[in-house]
Amino acid sequence: MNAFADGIASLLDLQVLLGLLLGLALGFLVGAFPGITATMAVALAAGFTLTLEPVQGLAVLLTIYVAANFGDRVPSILVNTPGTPASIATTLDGYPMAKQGKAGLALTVSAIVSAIGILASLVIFAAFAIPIATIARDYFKSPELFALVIFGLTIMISISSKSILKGVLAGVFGLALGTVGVFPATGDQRLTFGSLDLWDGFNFIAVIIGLFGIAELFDQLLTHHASKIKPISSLGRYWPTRAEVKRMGRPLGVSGLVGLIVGLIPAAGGDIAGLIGWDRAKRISKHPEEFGKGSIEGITASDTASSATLGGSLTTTMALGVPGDSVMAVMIGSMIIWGITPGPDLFTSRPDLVVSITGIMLVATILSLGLSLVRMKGMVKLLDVPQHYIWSAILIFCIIGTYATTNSFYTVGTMLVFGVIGVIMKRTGFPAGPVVLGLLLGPLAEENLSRTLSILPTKPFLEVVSPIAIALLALSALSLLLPIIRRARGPKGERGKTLAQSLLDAEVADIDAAKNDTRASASTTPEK
Amino acid sequence: MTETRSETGDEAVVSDTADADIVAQPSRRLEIVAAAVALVFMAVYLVLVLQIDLRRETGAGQIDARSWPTMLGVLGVVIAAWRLVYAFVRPPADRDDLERLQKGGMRRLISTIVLTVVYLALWQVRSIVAFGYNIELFVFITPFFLFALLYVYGARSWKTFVLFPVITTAFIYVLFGMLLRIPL
Repeated sequence: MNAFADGIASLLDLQVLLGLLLGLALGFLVGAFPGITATMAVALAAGFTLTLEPVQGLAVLLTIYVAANFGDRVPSILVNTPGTPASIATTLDGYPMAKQGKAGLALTVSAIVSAIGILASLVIFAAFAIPIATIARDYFKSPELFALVIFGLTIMISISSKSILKGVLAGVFGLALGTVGVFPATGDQRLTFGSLDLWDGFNFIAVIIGLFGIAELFDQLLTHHASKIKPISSLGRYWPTRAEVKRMGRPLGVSGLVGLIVGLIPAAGGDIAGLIGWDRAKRISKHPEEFGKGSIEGITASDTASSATLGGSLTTTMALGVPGDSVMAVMIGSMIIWGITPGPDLFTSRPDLVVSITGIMLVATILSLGLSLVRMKGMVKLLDVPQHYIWSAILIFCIIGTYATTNSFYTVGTMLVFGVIGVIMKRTGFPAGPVVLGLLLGPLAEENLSRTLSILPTKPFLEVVSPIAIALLALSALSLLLPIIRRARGPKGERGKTLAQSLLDAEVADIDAAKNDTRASASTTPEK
Repeated sequence: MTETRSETGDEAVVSDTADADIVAQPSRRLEIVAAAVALVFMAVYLVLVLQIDLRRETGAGQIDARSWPTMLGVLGVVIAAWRLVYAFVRPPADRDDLERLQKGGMRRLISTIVLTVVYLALWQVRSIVAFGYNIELFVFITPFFLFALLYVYGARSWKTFVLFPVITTAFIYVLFGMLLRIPL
């Protein structure tokens, strides 16, 4: 059988179908509850899926990833609160539309363009994953792989950190965590303190559930306050008119392209793409003054761009082994436990997986779109679920999910400790993403650095370290230095911005203006 | 628009009143403490990795079990020290992406951690023999744990206190204990 037939055959399994349905339900729920991110949900589900076959597990995790991308638009539109960071830009026009009595229309448009964005990005994945992996396999030896890890880590640091120094410290902390355990090359024990539990290092699933799940929960416990905004329950009409469909065309094309490009950048996710896509669409619109005030073009642009990142993100994750976003970092951890290591060798040795993953994403997108179009009334009720249920459920499922990975209370303790560390990091402005990436990729970096250094004395430098490795290292240095230089040269207000923010001053200014408009109208318009 | 003072009192922050109630304020003290803790952590890490016992020497050009951690330790100490100096001499970064701590928030957090530690300590006992039966503790302590959490989080309805813990525990037991055969 060829790869295509193998890939399709692995999907024809009842457990894969059940996984899809489970992922669909979980993804929608986590998306709809503000504060529960897709990363948290995938991290949590990773504990449940360890005993499954890889394709069955991927069906659950990838469907959560896709469905959360639909569910998170609901609170953005109805309560002006993003369900996950990827739907931040949705609030700019979604909530004003809802206040104008067009919530149903906003939800429908959002669901349709999200589906189009994901499907377009899947074409990128299906077409480019194997060629990128093949190029990487042929040209990426130890020095290039080391440089690639450093590149992925520095991009994550520069995108996720307001302070580069804090981001680098978080990355070093993650890499340092990755050194705990037995050093494979010599069998020496490092920082195990005589504990057998530490021989294999920190349990990755426990760390990510702690940093992304428990820490997020703890932060909500610390900061929760009663919201003054009531969900908008009057949905109005659902379907766009022909004229509205016509207006959606240009923003769909422009922002879709933005999303596809941003998705291919390691660590850049739907939140950044949504904001850039929204701004680009505003610039080419015939009605830019409507943006931020309930523009159908605005919601089309933000949701197409943020959704179109999924395929690109998947491509860099699976083909290069460098996570496209934080959800993908968690996904890599789960895949490694299943015995699959994302990276250049994966798709060249298992091309059927490209077909399986594309198939899962395709079915998940279609199911999510269908559910999005029929569930709207019910979703409004979900937004009223009291926090005490959500918090209690998250905590108990984090505990049980983590325990299930090893059947050990030590693992649960690790999760709890990293939850505390995570909330402290969050409150003090240290990003969690670089920690996870450092822990995940640290052993790979050390192994490839070791190989490179052992080859270096035997051959000329430029014969060992190729221009690809030098370029990646130069880009890594640039990604860290650029924000520092811009901040040093810029006005005082420039400090404390991420790379994306510092590069996108104009976009940020536009978006701030739109947010202020929304806030002003929210404070002056009485709730229905 | 109103003017509010930051925690340290060293910087005037102009902000919208509604936002000031929600958004965390910049704090120099917090920045200094965070950088100092990072410096201590990285210094301790560096000291510990320098004491790693090597079972055998590595060949020329190869790195041993200490090399990579030592590089990380040195880098971490340098960056953390740089960050500490930065925290002293530069104004604290804004924290407008974070919400301010709310009244009762710390109580909720500490109660949750204490309850979780107690729950895990009890669960580790696994089972007890009573009245001639081997009783699995999980199914008894989990509803009480959930009940306590709900109480801490502000629930007061008896239906919530009874139905949610019982249904959730039953769901977990069936899914994990019976279907996935996880020894609870």
